[in-house]
Amino acid sequence: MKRRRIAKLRGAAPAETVVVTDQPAAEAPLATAPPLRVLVMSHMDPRLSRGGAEIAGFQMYQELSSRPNVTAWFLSASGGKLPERLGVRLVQPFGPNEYVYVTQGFDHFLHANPDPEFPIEFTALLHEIRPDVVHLHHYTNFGIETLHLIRRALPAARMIVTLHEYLAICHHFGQMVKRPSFGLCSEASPRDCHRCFPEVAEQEFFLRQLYFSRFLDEADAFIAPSHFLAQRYIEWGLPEGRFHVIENGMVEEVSTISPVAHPRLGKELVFGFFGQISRLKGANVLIKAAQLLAEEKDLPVRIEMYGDHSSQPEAFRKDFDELLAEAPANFTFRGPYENWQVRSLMRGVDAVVVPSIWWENSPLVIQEALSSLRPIICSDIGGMAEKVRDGIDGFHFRAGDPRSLAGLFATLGRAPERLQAMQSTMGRPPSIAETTSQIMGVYQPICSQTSREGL
Amino acid sequence: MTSTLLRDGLRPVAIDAIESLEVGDGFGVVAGWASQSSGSDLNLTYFSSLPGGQAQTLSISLSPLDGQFGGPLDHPDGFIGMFRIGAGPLDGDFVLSAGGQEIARRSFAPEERKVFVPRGRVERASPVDLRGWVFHPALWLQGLDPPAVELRVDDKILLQLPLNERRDDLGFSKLPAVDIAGFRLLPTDIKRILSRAGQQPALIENASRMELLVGGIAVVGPSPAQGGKTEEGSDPAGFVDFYGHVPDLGGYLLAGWMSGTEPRTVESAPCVLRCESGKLSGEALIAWHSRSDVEGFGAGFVCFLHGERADTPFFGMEIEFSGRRLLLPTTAGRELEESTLVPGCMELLKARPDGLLQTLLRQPRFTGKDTLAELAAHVQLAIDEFILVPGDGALLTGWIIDPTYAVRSIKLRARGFQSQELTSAWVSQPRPDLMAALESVGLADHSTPGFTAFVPLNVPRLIAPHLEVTLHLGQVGFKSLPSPRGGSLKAIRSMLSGVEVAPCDMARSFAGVFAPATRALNRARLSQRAGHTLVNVGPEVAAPDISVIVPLYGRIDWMLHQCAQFSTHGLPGVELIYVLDDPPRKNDVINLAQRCFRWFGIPMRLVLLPQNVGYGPANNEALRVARGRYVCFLNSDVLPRDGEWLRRMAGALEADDDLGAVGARLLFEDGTVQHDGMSLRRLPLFGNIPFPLHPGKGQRPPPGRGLRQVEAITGACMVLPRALAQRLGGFDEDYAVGDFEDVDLCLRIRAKGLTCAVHDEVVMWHLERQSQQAPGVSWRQNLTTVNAWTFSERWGHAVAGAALSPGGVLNLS
Repeated sequence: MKRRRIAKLRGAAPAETVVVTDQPAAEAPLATAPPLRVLVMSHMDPRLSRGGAEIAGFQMYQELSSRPNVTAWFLSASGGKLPERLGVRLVQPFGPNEYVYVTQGFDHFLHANPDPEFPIEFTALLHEIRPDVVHLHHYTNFGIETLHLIRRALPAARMIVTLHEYLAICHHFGQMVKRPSFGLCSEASPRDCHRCFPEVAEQEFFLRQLYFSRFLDEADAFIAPSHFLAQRYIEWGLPEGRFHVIENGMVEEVSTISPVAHPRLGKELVFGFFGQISRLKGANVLIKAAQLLAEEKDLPVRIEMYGDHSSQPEAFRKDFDELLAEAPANFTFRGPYENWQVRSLMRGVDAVVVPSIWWENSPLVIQEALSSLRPIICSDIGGMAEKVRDGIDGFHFRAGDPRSLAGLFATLGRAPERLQAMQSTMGRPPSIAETTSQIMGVYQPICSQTSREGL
Repeated sequence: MTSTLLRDGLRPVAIDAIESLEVGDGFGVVAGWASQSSGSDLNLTYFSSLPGGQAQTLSISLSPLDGQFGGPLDHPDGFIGMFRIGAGPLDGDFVLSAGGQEIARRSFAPEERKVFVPRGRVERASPVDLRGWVFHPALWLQGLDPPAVELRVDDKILLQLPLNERRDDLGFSKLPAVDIAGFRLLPTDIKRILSRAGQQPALIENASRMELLVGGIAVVGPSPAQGGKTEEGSDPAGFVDFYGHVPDLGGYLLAGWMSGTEPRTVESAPCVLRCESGKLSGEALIAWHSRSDVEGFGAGFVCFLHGERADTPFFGMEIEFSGRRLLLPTTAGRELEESTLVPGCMELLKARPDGLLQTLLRQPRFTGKDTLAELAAHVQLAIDEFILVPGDGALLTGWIIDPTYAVRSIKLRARGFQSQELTSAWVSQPRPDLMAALESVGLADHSTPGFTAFVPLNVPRLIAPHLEVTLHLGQVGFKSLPSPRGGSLKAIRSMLSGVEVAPCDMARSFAGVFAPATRALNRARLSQRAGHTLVNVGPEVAAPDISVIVPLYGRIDWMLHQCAQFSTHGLPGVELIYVLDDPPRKNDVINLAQRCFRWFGIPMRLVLLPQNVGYGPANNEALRVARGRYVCFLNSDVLPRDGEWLRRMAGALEADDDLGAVGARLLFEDGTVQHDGMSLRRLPLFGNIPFPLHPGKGQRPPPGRGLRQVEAITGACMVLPRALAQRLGGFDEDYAVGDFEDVDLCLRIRAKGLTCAVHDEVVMWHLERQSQQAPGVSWRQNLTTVNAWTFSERWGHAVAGAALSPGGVLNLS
């Protein structure tokens, strides 16, 4: 077994070294073959922003860089979080193979980039590093047209796009929930989208779809972290044959490798919520469920909420604060936490609750819970229902329904052993190394041929 | 005797000579040549010896001759001098000197002396003008008996002619003694001398021979005029006795007489007034009156010609009346002030009070003051907008409250201009804002006091324009006008905003007012346009097969969407031209074009217009710079669905010489038909004028069948040979802003024997009207109707049926 060193991201703290197990190298190129040249692009840089997609993209870049016979570069976009260097767009504040595009504004409706300078510098960079593969995690900040730029600059390069949510389909932050009701949306159309955004004409949504389709069509392959997301895009019009469902990998910690028994089944059962506190994440559903639960006497169940809502819209914060003020005794708001604390915090609860009222894709919190051996109580929709097998990895409740959730809490409160038993059936999230190996398989066509013919 | 001298001792010069001495009764005339005779220092002195050895010296003044004297002396170097002869024998020397130096000397033996013969000439001889001159020293040298000047007609009748005109144009008139050498007789004078001789004017008109006599001796010189013909120019057909500029009327008023005995019924005639600095021309109003002094061969006239006052004197007038006629000012012709001129003319015409000119002169004058309040009836009139298109028309919008229906007519007036009645091209409109005022005078609430009126103008400009309101009683009042505005899109928009016209009123409103007014305003704004700026974005396409012309207005971001779709397959061999018809967006479009080129690799040319001109003119401007063999007019909201669309349409043209233009099947975003060819049909709800309809619009498209001939195709996507497009002058620019010009072009193509077709296997998206969505739909809809009426006027004959005429019966079905 070969052991390698990869950096672990932990906020602003210095990177620490962890050891992971490498996977069998099904994708391992011949020793004599020239190194595979891969440019990984991410819409943000994890050192500037803490979103899941940029973390996934950067971890993949690190993983690729650590592999023999692969040369990798990382290009992220600043999203306005890096000062501009007058007259230039691409800068290297973090390392020799790592570039940051200092963005100049963005059209968030079309996901189009109005910057006329980026094409020149980016094309020059492409010609300089000549990647065989360009792998985009997201396209926001660069612009969906970037796919065309890459194709023009490097006609033979293979372009891979990892889709992280439903942005191309839905203008409502890619969430596929309706405005203003937050009801679930199952299919986009210019007419339906206009209903969500009455201020935008139907034809604008038609143009938007035309614009996205025209450029997404240039991608050679799409990677979706969930079958659910892949299916949504296929129904929307992207070619099914180009889709690969590959989960985002997890950075593994030594401590998580050995199973951790359930800490206790003591006086009370604790359900924990971790993550951003927002309406879409179902925060209100959870508090209301706690209120319903409180009506049942002598039920040893407690709910703890970890997370931050300071960046949420004022209306939500007001609403949430009012709910919080009236929260029952079984509910505890623990407040914000740092990402590096999450696994130890999870180990302090009996199960993790993911009550999102939108579809989700492949939420990081589910992977974190799986790797912490904590069963997941989640909404019965979308990526959550796919990633959490009901009765195996956790339990489902009806999305957006506090009564359903409260009922599930009560049932488990009366039979806590069901959660404990689940430790033996729960799945394990794939590691970065594993997912990278799978992705290398998607790269393969370009590794074995230099022509795009037949792609 | 002649002599030759060497001047300065170096070179020979022309002969200086004293040539002749003519002797008359008490005077002598000496003449000769001097090479420097035009110089001021030429002197002739006569030296003689008196009996007793006393010397006599006589200085003789000289004058150059310049070709009018007749004989060999009519030479540029000729000179002449005259002197009174004393008692001596005239045998002394005549010495010619120049600059104090003698250059010729001569004495005349008695046989060398000649008898003086008078000179002269009749320059004009007609019953209305008798003109000429004489040279005879006895006329001017004191102490001599002046001889009579006479005209002998047909060898028998003698007419006494008075000398009455200085002739500074004649060389000898510069001799100090000579004052009046010319005669000029005008009809009154001619009639008088003929009368004195017991003759009629016809004598001169019919004369076959005329001789000028001085002292009973026939003159020599250039041949006198014969048979009433004149020597130079044409015979004047009359004279102007007095004239002047009348600022209040804005032109010249002239009075005089004109020869001829034909009936005087003409009230206007083309006229030219000539001044030293130029001329005024136009249609003059004319009125006639009888004049005893020209009775039998002419008549008096008063005439008015519109125009500004000239700075230089008036010297002649030409008028088209029974042929082209020249009228000259009399010698006593006077320029009068308005205060005496107008009453003087009215006095002349008092026997004939009816007539256009008489009416003009009789009318009250607008002094810049509103006088409606002074009328006997209560009339309120306000002008909100006064838009002037010189040479084309004026537009007036406002309101009038006339509770007793006292107003007979309202006219636009200016100096020298009077319009037709405004109500002949007038649209009434309700004015809710005037409800209280209407109620206060007891008018029903369905009154429509608002109006829009169009006045055709054929004058280059209006001086002191105002409204003249005439009551049924005949009383006239004036209303001043606000400063006029020029033709502009804003003016069109203002005129058409809030206008709602019922189908049965459309002919009167649109054909009578809105359509001609819009055309005038639009032409005025287009006449002000300046040239475009050309910007090349990316490499220029060499020898393009096709030029794609896309006008941009309002939403320029369509360029992004179009180029994004073009980039899928590229545009090889195609010259893409975006023409910006929205000048404030110049920077935006330049930046967007660069962005499109850098991101999508689509080169293009930008034609940037300095002002908004509308769809047709914008396309035409780009057409002037297009270089492709074919041109494709393409709307910015039309998007391709494949890479073959352009080649297939151009290929259809290439394959069929009889095909003039080809269009595509255009679909809305939901996949239904937007355009699949057009057909013309009259719409009763629009006054029965023809409109292009889109068969199948909004429905699922039928299977494509390839090329299909149609009546017309949309300009949203139209491919035709560039040469044909340019030969036809592109789109007709009278369709303001944009409507109907595509159908018009198709009909012009078909009028050349070519066909128009849709290629329904070429399918594209068309998100119709996206680029025109803007506030103020009402005025835009009315503008479409205006353009429809313009189209109807041009092409109504090509569509079965007829437009509803004013007052016609509307038939709905």
